[in-house]
Amino acid sequence: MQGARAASAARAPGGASAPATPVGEPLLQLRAINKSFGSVRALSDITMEVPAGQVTALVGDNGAGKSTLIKAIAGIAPPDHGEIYWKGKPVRIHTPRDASALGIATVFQDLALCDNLDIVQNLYLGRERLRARTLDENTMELGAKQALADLSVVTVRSIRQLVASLSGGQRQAVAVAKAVMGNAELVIMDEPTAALGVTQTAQVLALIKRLAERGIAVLVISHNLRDVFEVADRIAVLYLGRLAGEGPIAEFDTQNTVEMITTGAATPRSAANSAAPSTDDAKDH
Amino acid sequence: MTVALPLRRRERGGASMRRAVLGRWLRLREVQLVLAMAAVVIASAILHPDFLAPGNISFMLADSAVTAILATGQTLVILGKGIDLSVAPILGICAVEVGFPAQNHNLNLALALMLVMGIGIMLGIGNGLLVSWARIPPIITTLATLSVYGGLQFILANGQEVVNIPNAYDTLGNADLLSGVPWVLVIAVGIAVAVALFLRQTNLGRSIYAVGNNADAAHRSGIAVRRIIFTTYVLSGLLAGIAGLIYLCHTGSADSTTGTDSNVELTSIAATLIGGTTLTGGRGGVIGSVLGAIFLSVALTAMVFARIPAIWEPAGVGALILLAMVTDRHSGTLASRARRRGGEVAR
Repeated sequence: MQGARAASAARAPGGASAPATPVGEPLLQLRAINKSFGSVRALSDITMEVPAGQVTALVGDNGAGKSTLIKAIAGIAPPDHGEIYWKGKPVRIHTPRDASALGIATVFQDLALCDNLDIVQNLYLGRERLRARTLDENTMELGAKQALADLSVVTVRSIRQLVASLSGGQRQAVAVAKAVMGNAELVIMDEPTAALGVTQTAQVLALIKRLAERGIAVLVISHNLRDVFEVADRIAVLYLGRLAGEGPIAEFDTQNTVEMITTGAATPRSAANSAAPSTDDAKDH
Repeated sequence: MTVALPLRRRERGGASMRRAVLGRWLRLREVQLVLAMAAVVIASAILHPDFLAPGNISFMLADSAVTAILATGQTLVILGKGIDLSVAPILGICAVEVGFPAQNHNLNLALALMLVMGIGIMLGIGNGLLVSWARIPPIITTLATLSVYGGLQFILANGQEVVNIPNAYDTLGNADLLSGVPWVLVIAVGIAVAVALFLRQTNLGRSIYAVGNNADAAHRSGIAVRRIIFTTYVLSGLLAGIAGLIYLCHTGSADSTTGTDSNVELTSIAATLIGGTTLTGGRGGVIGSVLGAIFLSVALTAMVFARIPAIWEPAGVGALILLAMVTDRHSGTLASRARRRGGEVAR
């Protein structure tokens, strides 16, 4: 896997492979994140962590603040208060550019692809490879092929196909490949399986697992608990803008997760015995 | 992953594959335009052999040069999901501003070129700032600057008229490189090819397509959307300025209503739309727009040869725009077909 990682770093935009996260330090830490829209408190004192090489599922009912939280991390809508630590260092993420410079890539529900461009053009959008100041199509084609192969995307007919002609699962795969190509160390995915059929959902879940296997941290929002329990290593439950519980998947089962999502109450089996800083929040309610 | 493609092609077999390739070609607007133009030219030449006289060909092509240059800039703006109505007074201001020094002080042609480029860029910056930073919708911005720049042109011309231009200007505007191939068209095509290469081969060009299709996705991909939009208006201004100089050289005249009086902004949009660029942004290209400009000129000249009174000219332009739109819908360009196909696959 190390070999594959090095090879992918060599061809991926950005070139150099990213420095490793110090042992014991979670890749991303949120401390007391707050965000209000007018008088509505969308996020209050969210404190949680996202470790490298694991899939963290962010669950919660509609309006619980899941999207607001990932927008804060992605630099789309920065938080009002609170600190974000990346590899143990405090960072400021004010724009999507800041986020991608750190190695945070977000795959939104609408996937943010340009229908009028082909797969290669989308994968390299905003970071085109140049040779003699003009687009280096050959290098980009090879890179795109490699990126899709790394994610075992085999269903695409041609990498010069317009994105408009792809299926939902293929579009999702292209969006993920695009995210990972920027040497991302954290990939955030918003409802990646929401609009997909059974087969395509399975493909996307396999994709998520492969990302984690490659040492990438994945933070995935999902409404579908079956999907969550299939791929997640950790779960964080949001309830009305606060963290109702957080911890390794072993501490959760469908029943207490549903309970937390709907009532915000932590059950005895939940985050109480985890060492995460979130326990205080969870107990408060 | 890609081996599937050649396999499928082979399965289709020779004849049907040739049909498929032909079908794809026929869906290209550039090909459609060349065929339509050939039809008009052949029909007119049969009815009136004079239509093919070198003088007439040169006249038609030279007449399209100004529109072609304007349409090239217009295409950049429309690809980015904008529109530039102010190209008419930008052309007019530039024609007037170099016309008088040329007439009265024999202004050097190279200096004149620099002058029109400078003025065009400045006026384009005005549009660009209003659209990208003040975030006023493009059609409102350029409708306003159409009026503001038009007023400025009136003030600058001060009721005077350019009637005489130096020989160097006249030669540039009316001489042929070869018989039937006027210099002004060579210049227009040269500009269009340069811009086409810029669109195809640079990341900035690619960004214009991305911004026009999905500004949000472009933004999230790290593209400075506002700077891209700003750039398209500056380039449109620059090209409108050059078009002003070409207009001056070709017609030998300029006054307070040059450009706006013949609605060149609408002609440039017409050429762009006929050339296959869509108003919804992100689709099309400048070569189509140049062909659109030439097609307009050829078709309008053919109307004259067919003894259709000149008052029908605007109606002819309108009919061609509508025809182009209907062809778009009917044959379905590559992207819209792909979208439909995508919808089927996704279900």
